[in-house]
Amino acid sequence: MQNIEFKSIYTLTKSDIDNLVNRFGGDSTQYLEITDSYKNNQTIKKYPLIKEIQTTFILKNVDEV
Amino acid sequence: MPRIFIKGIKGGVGTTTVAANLASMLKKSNLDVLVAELDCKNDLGLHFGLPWGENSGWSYAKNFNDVSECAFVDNEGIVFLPYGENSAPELSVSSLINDLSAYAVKKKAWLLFDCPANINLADLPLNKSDIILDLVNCDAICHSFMYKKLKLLSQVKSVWQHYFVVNKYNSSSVIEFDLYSLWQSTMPLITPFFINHDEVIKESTAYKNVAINCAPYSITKDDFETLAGWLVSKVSK
Repeated sequence: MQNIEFKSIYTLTKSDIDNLVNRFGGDSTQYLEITDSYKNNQTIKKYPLIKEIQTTFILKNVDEV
Repeated sequence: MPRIFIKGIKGGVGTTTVAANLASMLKKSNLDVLVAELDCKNDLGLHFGLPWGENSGWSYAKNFNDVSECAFVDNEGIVFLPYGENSAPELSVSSLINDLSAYAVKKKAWLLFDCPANINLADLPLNKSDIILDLVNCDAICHSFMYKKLKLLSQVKSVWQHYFVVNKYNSSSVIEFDLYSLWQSTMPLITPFFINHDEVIKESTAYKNVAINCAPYSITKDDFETLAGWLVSKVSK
C-alpha cells in the first residue's frame, strides 16, 4: 500500500489563465465584475474536496485561501 | 457555417437534451440546423419524435451517400442524424464531421454535434471558429473535472472556442448557489448564464419532444433563448 502524499502538481499562473481565455474564449468583452471574495473563501474552506482542489491547483496572483 | 460541439464534462449532465433544445431554438430563430449524434447511446431521435424502435443511423454507413439516407427531418424542419445501433462503425467520426461540414456549408446550416463525454477533442478536425460547449452540473465532481480540463487545455496544440455551461442549475440548493458564485469569479471559460433545472425537460422527453415546444412559456425556454442568442453573437464576431 502506498502512502498518500500531498503533491502540488498543478500550477496555473495568471498568464496561463489569460492564455486559456485568449486561445479558447474567443473575443471577450471586458466587464467589471463584483465578487464576494469572503464568501468564495468560505465556500472553499467549507467543502474538503473543493479546498483540496484549490490548494493542489494553485492559482498564482489571485486570492488564495 | 457555425459548428457547435456539445459534450458533457462527464456522463449524465444533460448533453443530448441540451443539443436537441438548442437545435429547436435555433430553428425557431429561422436558422437551418443539422444536428448529428456522435454518442453511441443513440437517444437523440427520441427528442424529435423518432419511433423508439427505429435503429437506423450513420454508424451503419459506409460513405456519405449512406449517411444522408440515415438522416431524418422533424416537424419543424430540423435535420437530425442518429448514431444507430452498430457498435463498430466503418465511418470515422472525423470523416463524418468533415463530410457533414461540407454539406452544411452548401445548405448554410448550423451544425450541432451531440458528443459523448469521453470524446477526445484533440482527435477531431477542429479550428478556431468551432465552439465546444462543455456541460457541467453544479457539483464538486464537476468542479474537479473542470480544473483537470483546464490543465488539459493548457497543453493542447489545437485551438477552438471552449466554454463551460452549467446545466440543471438548482438555485435553491446551497452548494449549487455557492459553487456557481465561486465559478463566476474564479473559473475561466465559464458562460455568464446557466440552464435551470426544470421538470418540463423530463416531461417533454416523455412526450418525445423538446421542452421549448412542450412549455413555450417556461424558464427553460428563456434559458435556451439566452444560450442561442449568445452563440449567435459569438459566431457573428
